[in-house]
Amino acid sequence: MWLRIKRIIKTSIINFFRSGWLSLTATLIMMLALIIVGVFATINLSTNKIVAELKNKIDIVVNFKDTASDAQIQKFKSELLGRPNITSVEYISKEDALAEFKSRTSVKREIRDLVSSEDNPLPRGLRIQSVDVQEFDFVSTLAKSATYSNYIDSSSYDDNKDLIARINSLGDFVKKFGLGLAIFFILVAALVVANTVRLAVMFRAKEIEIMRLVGASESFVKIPFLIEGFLYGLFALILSMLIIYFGLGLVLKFTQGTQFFSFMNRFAPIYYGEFWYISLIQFVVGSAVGVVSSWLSINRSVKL
Amino acid sequence: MALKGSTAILDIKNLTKGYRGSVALNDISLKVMSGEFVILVGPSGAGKSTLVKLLIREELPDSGKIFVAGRDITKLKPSDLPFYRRNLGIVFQDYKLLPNLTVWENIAYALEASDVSDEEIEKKIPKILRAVNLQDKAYAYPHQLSGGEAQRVSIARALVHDPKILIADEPTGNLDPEASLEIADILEKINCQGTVVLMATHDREIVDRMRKRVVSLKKGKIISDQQQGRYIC
Repeated sequence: MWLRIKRIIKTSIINFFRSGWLSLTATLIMMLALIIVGVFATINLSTNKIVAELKNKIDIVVNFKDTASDAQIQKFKSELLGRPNITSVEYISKEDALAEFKSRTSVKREIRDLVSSEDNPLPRGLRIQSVDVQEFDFVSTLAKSATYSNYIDSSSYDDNKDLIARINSLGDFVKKFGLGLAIFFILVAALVVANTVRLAVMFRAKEIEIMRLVGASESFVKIPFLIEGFLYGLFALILSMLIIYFGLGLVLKFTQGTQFFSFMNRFAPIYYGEFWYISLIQFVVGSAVGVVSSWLSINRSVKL
Repeated sequence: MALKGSTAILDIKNLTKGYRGSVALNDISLKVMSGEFVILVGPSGAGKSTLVKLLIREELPDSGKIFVAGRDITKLKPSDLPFYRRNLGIVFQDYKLLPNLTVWENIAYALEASDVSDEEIEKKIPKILRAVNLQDKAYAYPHQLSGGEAQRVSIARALVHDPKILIADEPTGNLDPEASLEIADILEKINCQGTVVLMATHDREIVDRMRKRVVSLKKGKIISDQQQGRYIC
């Protein structure tokens, strides 16, 4: 058994290296495909991250009337903190609200000057952040409930509801679109590679016939082709990793200070940060496409 | 000279094979005894190649039986084919060598495919290369060989399993007269050592020179079967 495995591997490696142009072409095409896979995986991870960051920045503020006691505010706060998706609830005192109001350059100075610490109409509030924007619906419902509605002034949620919903759905769309686009390009690349591997196998159909005629069993004929398919994927992976890794570095180096640099610089940290994860995706796609397309072509184009 | 035995190595019974309405072989029967050298002759389309394809089980007959060493090969399961072919020497007009492998590796491939140990391969190949006079070409690739040399490699590969029958389909078809004679000599020697040789050819000169049993096919029928025969059109 071991002898047979050793011989099958030996045959595959000999064929891979001695097929010269055929292996080189298949490997290079696979490499292009894997670069596309790597680029789209990076873009996809980046958009996911950007969308997540954007969602993190969304917060709502619940304002309390001056009649509300601190205890009531605390009770409201602790009810919110009991929700697993709510990440932070920050108390804003009247002083905090004043300081923030004073720092707002978007508000006219004359209006800002109307408010002072002696005469502060600004309400106390709670600033709420959540990993799930759906959670804000709960906050809104709670604020309008009989227990609190008399003490709560207004919720910035109602004002921003449409905006939050829009950001939310836009984020989801960008995520889905990115993933769809990545899958589409990966599929196109996989088809191109599968076709190249198919041509390589068909080109050698005569050899397969010879192998059968000298008494080679089905596995002895087929498995080397599958291993060769895997080798196309493996070498293409190494080449594409090197090209993206060093290529990105070079691009960043030569475009420093330009608009393009800041564009690329959004993606670079994500690629380098997730280097092994992206390489793993490339490896899975490359070896699967190589092996599966070899398998299909050898079964389809060769009658054993 | 090997003595012709009384056991039938090959026994073809009422073999018929057609392709899309035309009959390639029409109810032929043929018996080949151990030690025999049989030349199949006939013009193109006579049915020689069809018979070879049936013998190496590349195809199945429409009816009839083929017994090789007592076993009906028309009943072989696909999984048995590699084992059957390992006991058969097959030589083709176009040599059928694996282009990526050297002469040595081409011969070794046939042995490796049947799980022969490395030590035995190391022992067998030099011997077989000497037998076909190709010791100095062991590391050449097929494209570096002349037609005659390539055909000798193909014969060497066919012989590594010590087959009982060697089937040669137009082995001199692509060769010049000199190389053809050389191949005929080698096949004769192989036969002398006891292997049954069945050679399909339309090389009149070779047939007339060898003075072996000649079976003539025409339009799918055997029209003559002569010991020490000559080429009949």
